[in-house]
Amino acid sequence: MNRMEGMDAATVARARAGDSDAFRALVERHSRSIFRLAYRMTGNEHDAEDVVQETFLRAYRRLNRFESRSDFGTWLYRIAINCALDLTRGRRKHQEHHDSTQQEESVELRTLAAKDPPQDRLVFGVEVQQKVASALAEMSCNERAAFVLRHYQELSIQEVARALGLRTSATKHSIFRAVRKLRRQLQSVVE
Amino acid sequence: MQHPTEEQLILHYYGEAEEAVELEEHLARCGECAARNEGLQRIMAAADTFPIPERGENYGARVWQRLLPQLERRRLFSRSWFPLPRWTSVGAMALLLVVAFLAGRLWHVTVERRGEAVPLEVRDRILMVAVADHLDRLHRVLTELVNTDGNGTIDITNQQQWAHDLLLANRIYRQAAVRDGERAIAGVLDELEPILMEVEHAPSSLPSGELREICRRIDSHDLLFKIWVLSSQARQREKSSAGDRVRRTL
Repeated sequence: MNRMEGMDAATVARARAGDSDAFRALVERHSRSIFRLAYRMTGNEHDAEDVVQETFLRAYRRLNRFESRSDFGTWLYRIAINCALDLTRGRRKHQEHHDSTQQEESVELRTLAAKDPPQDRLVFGVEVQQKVASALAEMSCNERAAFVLRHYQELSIQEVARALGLRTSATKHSIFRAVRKLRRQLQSVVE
Repeated sequence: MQHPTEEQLILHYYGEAEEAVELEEHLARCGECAARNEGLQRIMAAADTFPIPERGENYGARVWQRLLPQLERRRLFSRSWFPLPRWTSVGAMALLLVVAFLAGRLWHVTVERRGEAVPLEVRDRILMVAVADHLDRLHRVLTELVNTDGNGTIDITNQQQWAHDLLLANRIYRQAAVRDGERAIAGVLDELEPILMEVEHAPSSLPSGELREICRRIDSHDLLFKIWVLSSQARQREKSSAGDRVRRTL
């Protein structure tokens, strides 16, 4: 158990006993990483903020079901991923219902991806970012969740599988497909 | 070792390849595979450039400040969920039932003779206040249940008494909501009724497995979330109704 996990375990125990200061400490400790995860999943700040809020609300509601031998941060990631997926799927249903012609993926991801290609080598980095944004937008929900958790949040594949409720093999294949989409987008500018 | 597949290289990149040593040896010998591996590393490094908006050191504190009103509304942090003396709780519940009854009558009367006896906005305000209070109480009792922990048997005597009282109010509100075409409210109250009945009729010392099953049903139907949304909407409607009335008076 690392230092952070040890601190979390004690704080979670206090929060479960009804200590609001303890829950506050958990919120303050994990908010930034949950925001980063949420932003990578949703691709826009507004949705990411909503996901952060909902994640902590759900976390408190389910605090008594958290198994103290688990890592609290990973448990939060799982909740955050589910919140982000709920948001994405909810939006998809809403868009289907309204027969919208808009794309289901996040506006900011698309906007970022759709900017005119830079002409100057100095803005080469921007082009790479646009391609990454396009690749993320192209990934399915599971692919993006698996890739984000493995690549950015640095969970092991087994932890990702547990967080997503998938089999390890299915998780690996989601990551493989995600990397392939990334390669397809970036091949022309990076390789 | 044969030339590694792309999948093997990806696993190797993440340090999760099973045959890491053999793979390293192969990459050291095979220029073609080494080039493929370098290409993959460039792709992965490029992924790291995806920009994330900055959040400052005090971001966590700001999240907490935004979260707090919602948590307070749900009364998630009361050390004792029912801190008042028992007689106070019973008194409050009796008052609630009177309000519920009156609201139900007002609702009913207004539907039958719309526009005659009670102004619509007054009826709506009274009803929304009563509904929101009822929903808050439901939320508190269910949250208490969901957060009850323990093994073996668990004493739920208090929650049962509250479930009994809430059940009566719940029926009145549900019937009134059906009559007035408030389908969202009626639907959620309808979902809640069997849960409240189950809690009321369960043994006072409930096996933890059975309690977990009730909690699972509460959770699987997202009942706490639905109650919270409805309560917020009811309070919003109450405020709008009050605002309209003030504007008309002015």
